[in-house]
Amino acid sequence: MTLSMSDIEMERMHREKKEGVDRRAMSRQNRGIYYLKLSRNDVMATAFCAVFGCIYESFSFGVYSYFMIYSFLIPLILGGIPFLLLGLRFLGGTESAGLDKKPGNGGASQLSASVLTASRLWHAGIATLTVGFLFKGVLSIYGTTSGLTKVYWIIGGMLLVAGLAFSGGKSLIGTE
Amino acid sequence: MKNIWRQYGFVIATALFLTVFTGYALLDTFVIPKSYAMVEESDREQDIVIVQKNDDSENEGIAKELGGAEESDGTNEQDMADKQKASTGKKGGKRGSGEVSQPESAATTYKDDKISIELTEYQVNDTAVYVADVWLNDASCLKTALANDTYGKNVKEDTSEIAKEHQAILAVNGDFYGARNGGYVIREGTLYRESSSGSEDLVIYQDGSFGIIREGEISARDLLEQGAWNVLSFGPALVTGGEVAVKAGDEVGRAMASNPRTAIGYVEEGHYVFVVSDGRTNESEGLSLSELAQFLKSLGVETAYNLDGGGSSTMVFQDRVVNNPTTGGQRIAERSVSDIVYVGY
Repeated sequence: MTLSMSDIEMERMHREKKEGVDRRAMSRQNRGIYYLKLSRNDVMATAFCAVFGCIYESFSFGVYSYFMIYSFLIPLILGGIPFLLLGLRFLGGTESAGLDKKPGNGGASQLSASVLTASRLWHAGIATLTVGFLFKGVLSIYGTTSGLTKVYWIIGGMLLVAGLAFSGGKSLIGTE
Repeated sequence: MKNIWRQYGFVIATALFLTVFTGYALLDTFVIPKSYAMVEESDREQDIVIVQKNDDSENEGIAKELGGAEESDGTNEQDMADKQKASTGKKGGKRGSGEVSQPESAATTYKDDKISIELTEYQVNDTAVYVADVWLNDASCLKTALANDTYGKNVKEDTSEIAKEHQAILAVNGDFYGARNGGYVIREGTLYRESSSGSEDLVIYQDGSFGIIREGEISARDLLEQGAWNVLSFGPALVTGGEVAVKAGDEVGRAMASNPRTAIGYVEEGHYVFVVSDGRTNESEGLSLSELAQFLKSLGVETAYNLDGGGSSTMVFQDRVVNNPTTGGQRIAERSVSDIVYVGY
């Protein structure tokens, strides 16, 4: 006997309801975990930029660059902090959803395409701006300039805007 | 494999783009040479200098310009004629007007009819400082030269090599114009770049006098009209009107750090000082800009200007590198630079 897709779906919904699993809450939990993972990665990037800037400045014979010193702020302010807050927001209020029975792991396959695309574009923008800051810092300390630095600002800005605009910002902050 | 690409493909593509582009940007900034123009002999009689462009697409403000101003105040026709003849001297060995008697030279001195140089070493704040005291009867003996006689980006040569090619008696590194995309570049009456960087510039006029201007307040073309012969764009001005112009708190970072330094000063008509300090070594700590300015003031200069320092700081006297140039302090070696200021014919 061949069951239609709708029959299979209905059967799964009945089973999950019986097991006390709230799919919508599971989706929120997965998203929350995903955002926390992103935040963790951003914090690691922040730490790398801070350490790199310190080491580079220590060998620059007293010449310093604000771009090098403050490069760590880009992944922190644009990534680490907002995604930490988003992650905590999505994880909050999910205790009663019976999620312990089917915990998610925040894997990309468990999230909608719009969330993934928006966050990937956003983080590509963060990466571009961060590399731009480090590059500009190296140049400033050496005492030279390059017209190519503006490429980082333009592309980084465009990627951030694309990440926000991909689904009107809703997929990122979860109003869809 | 397909799953990995689906999961991480975007990240890999972003990382690849950033790596490739940054690598290219670093090569473009520090390595890839770009020649914009060759240095041509100036023709003072026509007052026009033609700059031959090698690459039209890379033009950064090269102009066909008037080479000099009208006859300056107090300069008679004979002096001008002498200057004209002297200025056509190039590395081919052409000399200025008339005969120059056999020069008297030693390890630290040089003297002929037009040029007198005395080299002295000082110890200032645990730093070796080399001072060349220069007297010129002919202002046109104070010159500048570009690496490979080429105006461009990443076109570099050691100071000693450029000095040798131009038979310089005394030379120091210049303002390393090639490291920046902006800043006036006027050399031997030719305008190469007129884009402003907002910095303080040293103007060396045809009569040998010095002036300090700020880019943006006067255009490079107007400077040429006023008789500017060489304009250096690095800074800051160290001494103006006989007083120290840079404070200890100015330009934090660059000013406060002790580093090798290069500076040039104007004492009075025909009298100049070239100053180079060592630094970044155990023997010589280096000077801050404030310390350098104080030292120059003690020499009695009216106007003094800071040129490119750090690993670029090099003084060459009679084909011998006088100081200990170093970039990181571990190895004593010249750094290739884009231009020099020198005394010669």
